[in-house]
Amino acid sequence: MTNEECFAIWAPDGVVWSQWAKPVTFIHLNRATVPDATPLVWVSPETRSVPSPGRAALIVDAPGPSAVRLGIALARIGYRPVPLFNATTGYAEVLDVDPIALHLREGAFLLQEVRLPADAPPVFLIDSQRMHPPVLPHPGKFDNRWVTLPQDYPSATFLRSQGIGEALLLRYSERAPDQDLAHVLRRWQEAGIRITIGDLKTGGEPQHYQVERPSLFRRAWYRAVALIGLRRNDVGGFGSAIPEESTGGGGFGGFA
Amino acid sequence: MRRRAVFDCCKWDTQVEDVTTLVRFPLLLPPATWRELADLAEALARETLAAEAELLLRPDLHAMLALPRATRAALRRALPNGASPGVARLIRFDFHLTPGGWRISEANTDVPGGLNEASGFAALIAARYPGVSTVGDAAGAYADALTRALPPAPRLALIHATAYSDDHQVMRYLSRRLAERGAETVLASPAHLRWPGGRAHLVADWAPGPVDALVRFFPAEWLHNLPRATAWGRFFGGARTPASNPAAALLTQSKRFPLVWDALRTPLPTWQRLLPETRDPRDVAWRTGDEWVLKPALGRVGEGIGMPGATAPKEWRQIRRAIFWHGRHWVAQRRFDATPLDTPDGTRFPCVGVYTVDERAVGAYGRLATRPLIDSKAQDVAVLLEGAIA
Repeated sequence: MTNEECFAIWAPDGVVWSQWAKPVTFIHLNRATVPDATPLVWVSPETRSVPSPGRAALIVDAPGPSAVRLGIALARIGYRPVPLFNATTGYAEVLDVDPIALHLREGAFLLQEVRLPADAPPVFLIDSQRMHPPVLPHPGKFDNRWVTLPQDYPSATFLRSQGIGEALLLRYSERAPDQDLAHVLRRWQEAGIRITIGDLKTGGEPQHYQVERPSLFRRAWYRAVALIGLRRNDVGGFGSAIPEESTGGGGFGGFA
Repeated sequence: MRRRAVFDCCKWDTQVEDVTTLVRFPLLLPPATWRELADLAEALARETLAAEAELLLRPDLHAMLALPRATRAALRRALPNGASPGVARLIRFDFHLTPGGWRISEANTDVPGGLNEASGFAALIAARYPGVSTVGDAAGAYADALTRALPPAPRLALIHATAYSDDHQVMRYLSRRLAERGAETVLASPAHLRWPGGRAHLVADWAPGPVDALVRFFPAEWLHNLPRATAWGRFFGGARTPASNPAAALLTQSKRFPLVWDALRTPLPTWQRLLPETRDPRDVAWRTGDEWVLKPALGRVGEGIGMPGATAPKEWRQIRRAIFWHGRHWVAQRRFDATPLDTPDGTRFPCVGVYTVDERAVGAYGRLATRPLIDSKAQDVAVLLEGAIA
């Protein structure tokens, strides 16, 4: 299967949600290899409390490979998985994209077998480690941390036009959603989309969630600030450069 | 077509919220129109580079341009020995159709983007329409200019915000075009650079060592946010490795550039003819009426632009507040009437960004918008010529 064929399975023609699928990870799928040929595990008992497809769009915010695995599990109950992974690739990456790429490639074979209707509601897949790499980055590494932005998703108006009035966020953490995702959810909430959260660890019933107004909400320049990390406290120093550790104070130094 | 753009042209940002960014039909220009735009762009490029050279020697004007304090200091330090050298200067001038002819809204003299769309996507669309041709291969011409100016099989660092896929896609595409010409490229961030003896060296774990040139796709006004150890000031002065573009390009990238024209000896007749009247917002009555468009001096991709009637009320209030507190970082540009076109998708406002490489017009990046404001929600359209280039 070529990279392009794989992308076409995850973002098939004629499916309304395909246009939001991010192609970045698919560009270098063939770079990823299975070091020990261990078969990937596709069991996902965590999704037992997810409601049957109806008026809800889902967001899975989980470690990348798990997000893909959950996407396939949710496809089997009628949701259309939409990968929104947006990490670039390079040598000596801060975030290892290969495990996600592997799962996308292997998952494509499984997804092919699922006969989803064209109007299946979406499940957007993002990597919860996008700004939290397992190892603290250091200068010399290729910084491919990323943020998810409101313009990466359909608007609330569009969601409603497709009969969707609720967004269910599925995650393993009990923490509040990260700032970047809060911007997405808050926009939807203000436009009348009901937000709920499901804890994948406990598998309990999804709970209604009131999204607090994040910093710089709806500011025209939020995107630029978020992407380049001019506000180190807001987005953890995310940006082009991996700053050198500061000798004073917490977090990263180097940024004004 | 979308998949071809993704996999052949590294065009990865094909959707912005509800807007599909790639337009399925071309914007066709008569050859005479393209010649007119190319001539104007070349005249603008000549004037821009002359003004930039003069501005380098006029630190007294740099504050007026709203450059960050640290950047102004770096430019001052560059003065005794001159600015860091440049190579293959790339600029894009954004033209708009008006009842009075073509006007420009701004020039991207620092890090102009859109090369993937202008070269790759335009070629994909051109192949579907018999009897038309592209206006040029901007990315190819740029790669040619870079490799011609450097030793054979040069090693170039493509410097950008590595984490930002929208920028990374531009560098990936350019890397491919440079590799076709025998160049070795390393995609890295400005934090991966050190400057022993003024020569750029990469400290990236995967590709250490010196490079022959830098291709910078990292806005010059962001450089001062880098750690001090990176010696980012070398982008402005004291470097021996040439860069495209040199960071001194920021002097003309500032949208407040027109505010210092009267203080320059350089004649700027083409700029003066094509750019709408531009003033300090504190000097004009922009709050009443809809004659003025407000722009941040160092804004990018239409972010933060205030246009009465086109900008959402909430955003307009934010801009009003920002100008109240930081008016010296903004500019007021007299609004012009853009001429819309009837397209298969409805009425659209066109913008043709003409690239120059070393003062020669080499291609164009087309965009269409539903309102007379080109921002991140504008769509990319292939600019093609009716018939072959004469």
